[in-house]
Amino acid sequence: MRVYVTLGLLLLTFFTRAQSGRVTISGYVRESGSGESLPGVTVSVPAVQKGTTTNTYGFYSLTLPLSDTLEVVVSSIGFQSQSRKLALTRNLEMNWQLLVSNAELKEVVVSGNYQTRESQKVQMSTISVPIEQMKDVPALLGEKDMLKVLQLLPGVQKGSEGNSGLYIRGGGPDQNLLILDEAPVYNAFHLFGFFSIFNGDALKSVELIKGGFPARYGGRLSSVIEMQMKEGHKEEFHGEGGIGLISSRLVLQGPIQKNKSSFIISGRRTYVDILLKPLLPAENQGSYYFYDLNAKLNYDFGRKDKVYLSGYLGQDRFSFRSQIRNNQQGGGLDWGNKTASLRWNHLFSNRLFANTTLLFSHYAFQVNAQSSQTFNNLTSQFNLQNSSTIRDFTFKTDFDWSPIPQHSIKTGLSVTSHRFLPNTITLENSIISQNVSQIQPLDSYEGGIYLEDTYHPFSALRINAGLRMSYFATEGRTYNRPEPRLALSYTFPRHWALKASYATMNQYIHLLSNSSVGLPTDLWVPTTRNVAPQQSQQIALGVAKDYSQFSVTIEGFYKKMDNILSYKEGSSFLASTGLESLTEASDSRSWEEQITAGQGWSYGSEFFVQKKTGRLTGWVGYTLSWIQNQFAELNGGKKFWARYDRRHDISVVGIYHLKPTITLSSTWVYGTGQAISLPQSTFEISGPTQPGFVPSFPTRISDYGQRNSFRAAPYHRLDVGIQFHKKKKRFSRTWEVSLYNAYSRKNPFFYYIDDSQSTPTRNNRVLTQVSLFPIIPSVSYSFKF
Amino acid sequence: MKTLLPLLLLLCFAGLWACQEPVDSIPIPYTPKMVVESYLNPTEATIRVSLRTNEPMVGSSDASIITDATVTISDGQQTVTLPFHGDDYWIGTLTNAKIRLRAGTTYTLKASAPGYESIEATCTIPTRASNLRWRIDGIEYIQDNRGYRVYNNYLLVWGGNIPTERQYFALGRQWAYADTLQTTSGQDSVFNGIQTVWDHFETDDVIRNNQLYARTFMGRISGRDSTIRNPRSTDLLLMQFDVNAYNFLKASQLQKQNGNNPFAEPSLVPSNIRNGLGVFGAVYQRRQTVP
Repeated sequence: MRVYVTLGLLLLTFFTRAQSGRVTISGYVRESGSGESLPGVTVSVPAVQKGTTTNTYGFYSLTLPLSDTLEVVVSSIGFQSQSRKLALTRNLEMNWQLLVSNAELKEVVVSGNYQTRESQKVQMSTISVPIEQMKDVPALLGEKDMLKVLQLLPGVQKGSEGNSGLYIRGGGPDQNLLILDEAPVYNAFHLFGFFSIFNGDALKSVELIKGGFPARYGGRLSSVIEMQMKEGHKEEFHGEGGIGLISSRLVLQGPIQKNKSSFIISGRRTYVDILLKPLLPAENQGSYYFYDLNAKLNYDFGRKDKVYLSGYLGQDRFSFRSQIRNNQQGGGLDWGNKTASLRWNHLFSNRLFANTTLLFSHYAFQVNAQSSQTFNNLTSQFNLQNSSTIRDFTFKTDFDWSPIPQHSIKTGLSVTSHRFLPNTITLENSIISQNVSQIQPLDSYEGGIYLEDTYHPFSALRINAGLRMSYFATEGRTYNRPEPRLALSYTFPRHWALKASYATMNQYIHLLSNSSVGLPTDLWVPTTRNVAPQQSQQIALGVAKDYSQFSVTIEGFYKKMDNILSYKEGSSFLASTGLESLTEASDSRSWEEQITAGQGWSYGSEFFVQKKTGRLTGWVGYTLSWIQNQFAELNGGKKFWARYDRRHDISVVGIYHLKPTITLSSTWVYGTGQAISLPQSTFEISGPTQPGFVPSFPTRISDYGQRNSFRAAPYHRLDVGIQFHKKKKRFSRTWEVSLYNAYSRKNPFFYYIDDSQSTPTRNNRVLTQVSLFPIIPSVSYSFKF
Repeated sequence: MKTLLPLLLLLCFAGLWACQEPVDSIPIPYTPKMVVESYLNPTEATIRVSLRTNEPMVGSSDASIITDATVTISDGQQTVTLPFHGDDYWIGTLTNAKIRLRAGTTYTLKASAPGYESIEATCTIPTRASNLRWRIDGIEYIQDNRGYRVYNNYLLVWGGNIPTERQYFALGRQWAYADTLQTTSGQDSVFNGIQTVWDHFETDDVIRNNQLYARTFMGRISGRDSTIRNPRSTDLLLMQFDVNAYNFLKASQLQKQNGNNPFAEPSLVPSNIRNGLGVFGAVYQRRQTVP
């Protein structure tokens, strides 16, 4: 400890001395009008080749040499750049209000700023797509979905048809850290993953990091998807909403105290249940709906302190009920997330910014079934509930410190208390007088402390180096793992840059899934005494080149994953052999016995051309990759292709603003088919026989060959959309007509072997493909006031 | 199934637009292979080898028996060619053969047939476990709306020493049943059958350190003091295998058990047959009839 204190004091002395002869300009960058803070905005001084970007809360701090006058430029995609000449003779506090650039045409002129270029960013494998651009991308049934737009980026693969699950650089969907206003979200999907839970109207920014992770992020192996909710208009009351084929949404925002505090509240709900109810017979009723609510309040206590309170509540509910004479049956499936975050920004000085956060996150799903039967005047009742829950409380604090121009330091710590109830069964069965109730909580604690420094030794070289120490305590056992991180960027003339990164990541919570459909029944479970944390090491190397209108990045990556988990062969969360198996499975440790640990390899290259400005915007992405797994207890211990291994993945996205009132958009995607296990042949066995007795093992066996050795048909699809915008007297409205799967490609959802044509003397089996969505037209209406 | 129902209905809801069609553009790889089944049992007087062919998963196929193969078995010193017995298997009578089946000896099976790759497999017969017995551990009454079902619990007791090599076992039950089914003509039709259930596939350490039970159905009574109606006897089964037969039969049972569960991981059935499928293993069988 003494060594650390001494080291800290030495660093402080070094930086304090180094600050002589320098001044600091700092402040916030906000959107003009709404007062919304803007993250990721570049603040630069071209004359001295120095610059920085605003943090999540729109704050920046830039330390510069003393100077009579220097021009400071502030710019961001989608906003008009601003510049001011400042006399840098003393520390300055300078806030900026950026105007949205030509909102109708969405034309953006980026000038005078070098850091908006890909070649100037030290961070590689990071992509941000403007929210407004995401909203222009055509979507299934007109439901705009941020996660589905992320699926169109290189290195990101989707699961099955329609699914919002993200498989990033060979990682499973549990290896993505989804953060909404700093709160982790466990299950980000509605309706089997067809829609994500994030309402695009309430979001301010979305950023995806696929590799080269800065030390401030931890807890997942494969990606960080950070989303920030809007704060709410600080001057006027505004609203926006939309009416679609299956759901409607509404966002309201405005000031509580003008320029001091504001609110935003948004909601979305489906109405399929309401539309279908009259069509269903009274004796067989079923219903499904989902909703989500976002709310956020903020209060500005002055120059130094700001407080944000935000929350999310989302739920999916499915239920059915039937009554035939004396037999009543019912059941349902519910799942949902709740998150809340309370954040306090404090400015200790113009160089030191702090954010302290308290977080709550809760995810639960529940399956329930009830029946009541009357037989011989004796009524028997059966009631089963099976649930899984995760509850987190987190405290975290983060500091941004810009001591001298060459260094930008971030440090912080976080502590999370997890409570898992992975498989809770409550059973009441009057038929066999059985009552089972299993509630075995698993408590664990996760922590992390980090230090990272973005260092510019000279203008061409940028280094982001950091170390994160992660900690996990469970069942009397603790895991301490160091996680070194490094990212380098060297800029060449003509806007070329060579980049490299290395990251070690650890993951202490895991998702047990035996379905690529992304069912909510997938179990979240913690690292335990017997289940080790997952770990990955990833290296990436790439080049970036900026042209006047677009940027090109090419990256190669190699990722090794250890202790990744899978269900054992033949295992299942839900047994099919009835009640007895289910109650046996209620043993809280049963999930540990059903899983096995192995390793994985993922490597490949990604090609990305992105155009964010002009009338035509969009991108082209191509990924060539290989993903393999190896488990001692799977596939006879031999390597096999991961289910989401895709050799080729292509996406093309184009958005064209034809006129101020018309926007055309289109996407085309292509991906190699999924690797799945299908029986290749079949044979009969009788088992050991004993003279005079009936054989005890007669059965027909399916031979699968190697695990995941069957390739599904390639996936490809074209979506097109057209938006008609119109400004009315008091509001503006948009009609959107879109076609999902415009050429009606029958993409595989799953396969099965149809044996219905076989006879007792002759087999006749057919491989049958089930496809979900043919061409689906949709129309939606949205408004804004 | 009651738990699966909501999930399946939910899937159906998502499949409102779903369409399905046969696929012939994606071939499922198929290579004709010999499927071997042979379990060496030193307590029996014969060696029996069954040879079949695998059938393609897709398309139509007929009978799968191979009759024109050459099958040999060797203990490393002597080789015996087994004659075709008829039906679907080759058989050798050990009383006249040059080789004997002994624990600790490794045997090699080879077979070749026109149209198939030649196959080869080896098997080492394990030492027979001793002092394993079933012990009755009480009667259990389970009430339902037709009275009580009566079960006997049997506990497997390990009385021997700890083996020097891992041993592999399967514990099961087999019983005869009669069931009635109303036919379309309104007449009751009686069906007789044999039912086998394998409760456990475990290694010796698990049997020694845990209490493994088999529950046998004795019959049904109207009250706890009533006489059992239609009493039924059950055979308790205990098999000891070598590792190859254990892995093959355990995976086969798991695949059979999960046949209708869409949420189960696929069960790959391993094989120790080079260029073929099936198993060449060793087994000791015990059977005990209990009331």
